[in-house]
Amino acid sequence: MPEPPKVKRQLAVVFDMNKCLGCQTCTIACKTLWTDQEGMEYMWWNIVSTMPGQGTPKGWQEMGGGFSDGAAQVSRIPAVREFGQAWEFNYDEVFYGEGGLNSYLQPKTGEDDWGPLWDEDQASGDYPNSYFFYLQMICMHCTNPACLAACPRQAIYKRVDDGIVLIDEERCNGYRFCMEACPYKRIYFNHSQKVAQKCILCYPRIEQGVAPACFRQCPGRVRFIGFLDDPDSAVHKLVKVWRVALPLHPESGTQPNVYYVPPLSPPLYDDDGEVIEGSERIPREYLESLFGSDVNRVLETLKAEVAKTRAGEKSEMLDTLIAYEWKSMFGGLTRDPGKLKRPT
Amino acid sequence: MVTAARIPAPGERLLDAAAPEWAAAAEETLSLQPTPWASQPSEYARNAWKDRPYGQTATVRVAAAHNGEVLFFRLDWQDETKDDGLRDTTQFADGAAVLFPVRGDAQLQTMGSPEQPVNAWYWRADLEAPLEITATGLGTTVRLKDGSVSAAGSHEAGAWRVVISRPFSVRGDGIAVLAPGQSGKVGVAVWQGSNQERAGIKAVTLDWQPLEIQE
Repeated sequence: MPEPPKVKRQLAVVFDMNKCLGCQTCTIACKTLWTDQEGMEYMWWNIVSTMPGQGTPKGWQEMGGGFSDGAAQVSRIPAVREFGQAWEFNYDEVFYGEGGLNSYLQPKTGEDDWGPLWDEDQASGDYPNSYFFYLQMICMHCTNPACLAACPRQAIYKRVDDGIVLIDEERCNGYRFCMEACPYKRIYFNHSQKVAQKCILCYPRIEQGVAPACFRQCPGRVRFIGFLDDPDSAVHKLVKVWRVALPLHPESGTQPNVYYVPPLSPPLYDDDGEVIEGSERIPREYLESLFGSDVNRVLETLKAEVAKTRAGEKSEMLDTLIAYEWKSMFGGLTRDPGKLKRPT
Repeated sequence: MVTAARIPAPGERLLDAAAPEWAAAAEETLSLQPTPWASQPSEYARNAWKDRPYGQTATVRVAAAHNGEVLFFRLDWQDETKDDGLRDTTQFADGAAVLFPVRGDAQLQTMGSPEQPVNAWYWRADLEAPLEITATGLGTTVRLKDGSVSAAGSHEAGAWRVVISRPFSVRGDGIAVLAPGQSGKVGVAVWQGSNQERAGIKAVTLDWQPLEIQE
C-alpha cells in the first residue's frame, strides 16, 4: 500500500442516517449542477440507496477494491447497466401516438429488470417487522485513495489545503483503473469525453465559502461538513469528540472522510402485535457489516443520549444532530451562493 | 529491419492500405511480447493482471514507405473482435502505436526517461484522429496538441490493417526527427480492446527494431 498523500487539512462529511427522507433532493441538486452534459446521463455523483439493498452500482459491496493487509485488492469495472441506464421513455407513443390504450410507459430500449435505484424503498424483514433505511453516497475523498494509487498516470490528486480528491481530466486517459480500485464504486466513465469523473465535493463552491449543493439543498438537514481539525465544527465534534459517526466499510483500507451516524431502529412486534421492549428492527449484524463492530458502541451512545433528553436533560450531541440552526452544520461554509459573483 | 521504401505516390494513396503502390514496400513480421508485468506502473494494475493473460498478440506485420514528405507505417495484426466503440464502461478499443526514440539511446522498455524522451504515433479504433504522444518514462505519456499524425484503419476477416503516418517536417519538443536517408529505431505496440487492454497492458516489440528510411 502506498503512503497516503500528505495534506495540510482534511474536509470531512457526516451524514445523519436517522434524518434522511430518501427524497433525492441532494441527488438532483448534484445532477443539475454537474452531470447534465452529454456522456454524463447515467452519472449520479450523489445517490441515496435503500439498504439493505443492492446499492449503486448493483452489488458494489461485493466487488472488491481498496486495500487489505496493505495490498491493492483486485476488483472490476461496473457496467453502465449496473449503475443504472439513463433510459429514454416512450412518452410520445403513450401520450400522443397511436398506441393509446395498447401501450404503456417503458424504456425505449424495452423492458428491463434493473435500473437506477431499482430497489428503492424495498424493505427487508417480514411485516410488521419490515425495515429499511437510506444510505447517502458521494465520493469518500479518502485519506488514502485507492483510485489515486491505481492510476498509472498520476491523473488523480488530493488537494493539499482541504484533502478533496480530484481527477485531472487533462491527464486522464480513460484507462479506468480508478473505477476498478475504488472500493465504494463512486467513479463513472464519461463516454463522450472518454475520461473518468466523480464527485468533486463542489470544490468551486468550497473555495467561495459555500457548502456543496447536496448539503445546502438537503431539506432533512442530514449533511454536515467541515474541517476535521476545526474544534468548532460539527463534524469534529461528531467524529472526534462524541465519536458517533463512523466510516462506511472501514475494512476497505482507504480511510474514507465521509462518516455516518448509524440508524436507530424502531422496536419489533411480537405475534400478538405487542411491542417487544428493547428490541431493534434492524439487525445489528447487518449494521456491523456496514460499519464494523464499533457501530454497537455508537448505537448505545445515541440511545443513552435519547434517554437523557426524554428525562428532561439537555444533550448537546442531539442538539447538534437536530441542527436547529442550519449554519451550525457547515463548519463556516455558510455563504449564500446566490450572492456570489457569477463567473462570466 | 523495417525499411521504408521511397514510393512516389500522393499521401492520400499511401494512407490507403489497399493501394497497389504498397506492393513496392517490403513487409517484416515482428514478434510481440506482453509488456513486463513488473514494470506496470501501479500496484493495482500489477495485482489485477498478475494471473490474467494480456499482450497475447504474437506478431505484427510491418511495412513502411515514404514519398519524400510523409512517412507511413502499415501494421497488420490478428484480432478476432473489432472493438471500435466505448458503448459501455467495461469496453476498451483496439489500438496500435509506432514508437521512436527522440534521441539515440532512449529506452523502449522504460518509455524513455526525462533526459531521453520517446515519441509515439498512436491510433485507436474509437478515436476520430490518431494522437501524437511523447513520454519521458512509464506513465508519463502526454498528448501533443498539434496533431500532425494521420491514420486509417479497417478490420476484415479477424485482422486489423492500419496505416499511420506523419510528415517528416514536423518539429517540436518530444518529437522524433525522421528524414529520408536516415537510419533509426522503431517499436510497435498493440492493444486488444476485447481483453480490456489499455495503458501498459499491451503487446510490444520488447526492444527497438532497426529502421532504414530510403533516400
